[in-house]
Amino acid sequence: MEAGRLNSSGLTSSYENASIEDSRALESLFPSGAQSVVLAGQTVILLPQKAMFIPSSCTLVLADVHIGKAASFRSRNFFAPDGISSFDLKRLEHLIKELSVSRLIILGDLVHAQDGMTRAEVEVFEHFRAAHENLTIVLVLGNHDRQVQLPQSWRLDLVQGQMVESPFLYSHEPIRSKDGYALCGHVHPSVTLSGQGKQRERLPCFWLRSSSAILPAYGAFTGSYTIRPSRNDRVFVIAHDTVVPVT
Amino acid sequence: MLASSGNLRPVEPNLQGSQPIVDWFQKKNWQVFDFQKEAWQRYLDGFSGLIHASTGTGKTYAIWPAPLIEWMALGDLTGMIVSKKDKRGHLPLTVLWLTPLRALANDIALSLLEPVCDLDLPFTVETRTGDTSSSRRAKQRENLPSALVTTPESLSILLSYENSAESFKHLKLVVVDEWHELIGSKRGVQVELALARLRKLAPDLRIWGLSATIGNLEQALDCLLGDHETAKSCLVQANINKEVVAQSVLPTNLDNLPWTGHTGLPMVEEVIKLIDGGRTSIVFTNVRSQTEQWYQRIIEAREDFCGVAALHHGSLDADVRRWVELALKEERLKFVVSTSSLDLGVDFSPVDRVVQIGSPKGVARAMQRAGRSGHSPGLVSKLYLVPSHALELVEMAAARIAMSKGNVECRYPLCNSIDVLCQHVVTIALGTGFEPEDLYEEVRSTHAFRNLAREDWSWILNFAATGGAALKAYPEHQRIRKEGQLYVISDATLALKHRLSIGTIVSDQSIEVCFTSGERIGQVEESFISRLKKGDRFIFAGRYLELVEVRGMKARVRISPVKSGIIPRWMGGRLPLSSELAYEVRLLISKASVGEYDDVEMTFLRPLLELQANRSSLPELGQILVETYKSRDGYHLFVYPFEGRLVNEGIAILMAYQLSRISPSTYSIAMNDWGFEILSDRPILFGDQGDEKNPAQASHFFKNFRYDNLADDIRACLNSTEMAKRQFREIARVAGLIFQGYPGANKTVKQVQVSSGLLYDVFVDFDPGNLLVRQAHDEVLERHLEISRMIGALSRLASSEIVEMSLTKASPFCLPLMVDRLRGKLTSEKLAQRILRMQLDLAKDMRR
Repeated sequence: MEAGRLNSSGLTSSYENASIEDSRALESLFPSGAQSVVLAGQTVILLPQKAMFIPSSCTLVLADVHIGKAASFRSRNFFAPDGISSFDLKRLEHLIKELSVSRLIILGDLVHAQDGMTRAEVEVFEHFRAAHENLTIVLVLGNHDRQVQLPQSWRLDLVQGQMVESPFLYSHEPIRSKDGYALCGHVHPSVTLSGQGKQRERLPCFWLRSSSAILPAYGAFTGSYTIRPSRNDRVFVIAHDTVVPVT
Repeated sequence: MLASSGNLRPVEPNLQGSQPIVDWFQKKNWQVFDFQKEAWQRYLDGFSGLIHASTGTGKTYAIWPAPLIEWMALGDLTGMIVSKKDKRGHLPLTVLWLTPLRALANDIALSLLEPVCDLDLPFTVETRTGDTSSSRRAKQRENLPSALVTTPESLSILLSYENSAESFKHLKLVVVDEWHELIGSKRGVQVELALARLRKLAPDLRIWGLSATIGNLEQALDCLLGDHETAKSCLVQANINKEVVAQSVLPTNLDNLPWTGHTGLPMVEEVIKLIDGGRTSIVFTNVRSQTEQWYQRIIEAREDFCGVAALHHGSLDADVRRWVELALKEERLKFVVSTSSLDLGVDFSPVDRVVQIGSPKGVARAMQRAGRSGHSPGLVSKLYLVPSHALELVEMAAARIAMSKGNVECRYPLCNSIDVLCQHVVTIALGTGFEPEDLYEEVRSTHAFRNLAREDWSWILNFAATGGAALKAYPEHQRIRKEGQLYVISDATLALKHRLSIGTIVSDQSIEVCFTSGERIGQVEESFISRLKKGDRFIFAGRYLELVEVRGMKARVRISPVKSGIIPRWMGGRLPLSSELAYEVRLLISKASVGEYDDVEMTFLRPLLELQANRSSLPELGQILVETYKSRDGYHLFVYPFEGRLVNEGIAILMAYQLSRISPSTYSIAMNDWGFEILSDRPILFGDQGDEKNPAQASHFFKNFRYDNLADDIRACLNSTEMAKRQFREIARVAGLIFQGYPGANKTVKQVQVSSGLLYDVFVDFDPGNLLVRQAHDEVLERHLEISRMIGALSRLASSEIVEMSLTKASPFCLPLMVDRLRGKLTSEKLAQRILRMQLDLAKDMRR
């Protein structure tokens, strides 16, 4: 129990020093429950909606939406309820409006599988697209996306591999690169927390490492992978409607 | 229940025609028991019924001769099948024999064949189970034998064939063997539905169940026959009592027994002595991993046992198990370590003693296991009870007392299992097809669905036809459709998938373990293998194995030269202490509280119980012991209702829920058969009154505990607990929501695998009206939390005196709870608040 007690002091202060003023200014503007951090010298906002906002370029970054996953399950005779994709996109619309997003970057796995690309699922995204005519949507192709014929009607700017835009580098799979601080998905990270009274909790998280940040999976119908972060990593968990630093 | 004889009309044939059978018994040197004659006569009079007889008392021949006598009297040749091969014809399917264990099917078939061959009757006997070869099954589709021994699952599959109406129309008798094992499970519900179907297809049908002792035989009979003419049903009692001698095994010294633990391994020397002292022994454990541990330890201690020792559990390959069973029968073994896989069935006559490791938890189970020894009429069954921790000796004394009183537990039948009905509806659509109104009536003729509401029936039809309450919810998944007046299967490709999914036994995804040579050893859960790396060692099937590789769904291993390794843990419920035993335990503790230590176990335990009295208290009947304690882990509240772990868990959740409404807090809950623990990281507030210096006491909380609205309260905390999620997994699989894949398929179904928790969450959010979600809740209430038993327990709690003790040292009662790592959780705090007091689990090398 004592061994795990490294939180509070040393680690969190570095983050507080760097961005305390910024974050005060931003918190008045941005959704409650969000946290701001500085990555590669840039202030970014970690949102409890499991997405990241970069104010300087009005860019919203998210990963692993897995549209059509439920539909794909159903087409394999495995029940999963309907309405998850439109739920995910409604949440997204809300964020776009609230934060005046001009560009959306999806770090891969926007879709789940070809057999999940039913008419209904394709249309759900088309409606979303139609409601945001001027929004730029960049998709850094993930392993799931590469297996799927992406509809023209979605008007996505597709990126193979990585996209560099100093100081950041956008990638689906986590990488370490000289070209920039990597923002990635793919892992669906979560961490376990434990405390007095034999309490344990497993929660999705943002995993900020020295050369990359790994975002939680955005989609509601996605599982997660329990990571074991190391001492120098920063971890922000999503506790329902609040992002909470835990290192 | 017994029809008065005045109602009996004189029917031909009568027992006069039974002479050849009686002669046959004589030739075998067997006595014809009265209960056997009674059952034959009742059958011939057109009755259905339940025969109550313990194993080894001749219940197979209590009913099987009846249809033979009937045929000999009437000589009815309707439907006679003459195959081209042999010119002798045989009767069409006349008798269906259902057994819960497919391993028994062959033995039963052999017993059935004996009189048929000896008397040269035109009956053929075959088996059909999951083990039957596909060529045999294909032949059976054309031509069924006169008597078929099969399992509930295989019967459902037969009902899913289009020719089912034709196949079953000459059926005269269905025998449900070991009905006490089926009732109270979903397989029982599956059997009820199949029987309703058969009653319809075969008008001349009589249904007979065979059951060992349970507390509610009358109800078991009603449940078996459903909505049946009660004047034509009867209960036949064998009245042959098996003598059982039970004895607890005590170590030389009380200090040799730990206060907590469940392996029982410290008792290995005593157990070896027992094995030495008998001819052949079965050593029963309660879980599979324990079987492996015990086998290893005994063999290591006594190398001369190598070659005459074996182990037996459900995860071993069927061939391995069959070998063990045969060796046991032929007296080639000194002992077998086993789980409940040897509880039932085959007659192991060489076995003269049974050793039970750990508490048997129930009277019926203790008697069943004891009955595996001295398995012939007239012989005595010997049962030795070996404690795995000290206080378990109280349960053993209780078991002995309850056994001598003959207080056997009831097995309550399940009701309204929507998932099983969903499966059945598709089965029937696949077979004959159905008119909704007809099938509704048929289904309501079962005990399980006698109160099925019309709207629920519509929901089920709609669910199978469209996939969900909202018509468009599941466009891709429509299993049945309407064709004219009939509902039929919507797509022929679904047929195979459905037949593969039939059944109600849900197991985890398992990996086959085999040697590099290809020889199969058994199965372990995928989650266990996935934690192993190449070269890691583990113990399985009594051998030290080394993992060579995992490919697809196969783990290849070789014998490891190094004798160490970890033991797989299989998931599986721990049986709760039955009410009957729990009552005896309370009685024994109560006696101890006034210094009465009458039984050997209690005398032996006296120092420990006196320590409990010293550090805390021993509750009398009419008292409930409550302990509070502060430790390094936090603030503990222990309560001892002695109601079995399930009911204790339910009460614990309710208590935690009501406590959490006093102040926002988070509780971790542990329970065992004696009581439960509520643990908090901060002091537990028991009420609004009181202040820092003089806080409200736990007894104050119990006084104000609200006993009304219990069901509502439980429902309120269900969603926040893991129980409903766990239950939903099974339901989803049975109802056909989850397809577990084709057998032998090379790849895991990973791509469509999803945790049941996630599935449950999305269902609650996106399809809240789903009846299966409701069923998950109901099952947790009724089956898991045993709500009726719980209400009884709570009213006892309400009228009891609360004895509140504040501990300075952990008491013998509370220690097993404190160290239990299987825990539930209940919280009324905001998550973000709560995690501020928690720490992140870091990578292993970062821990210090």
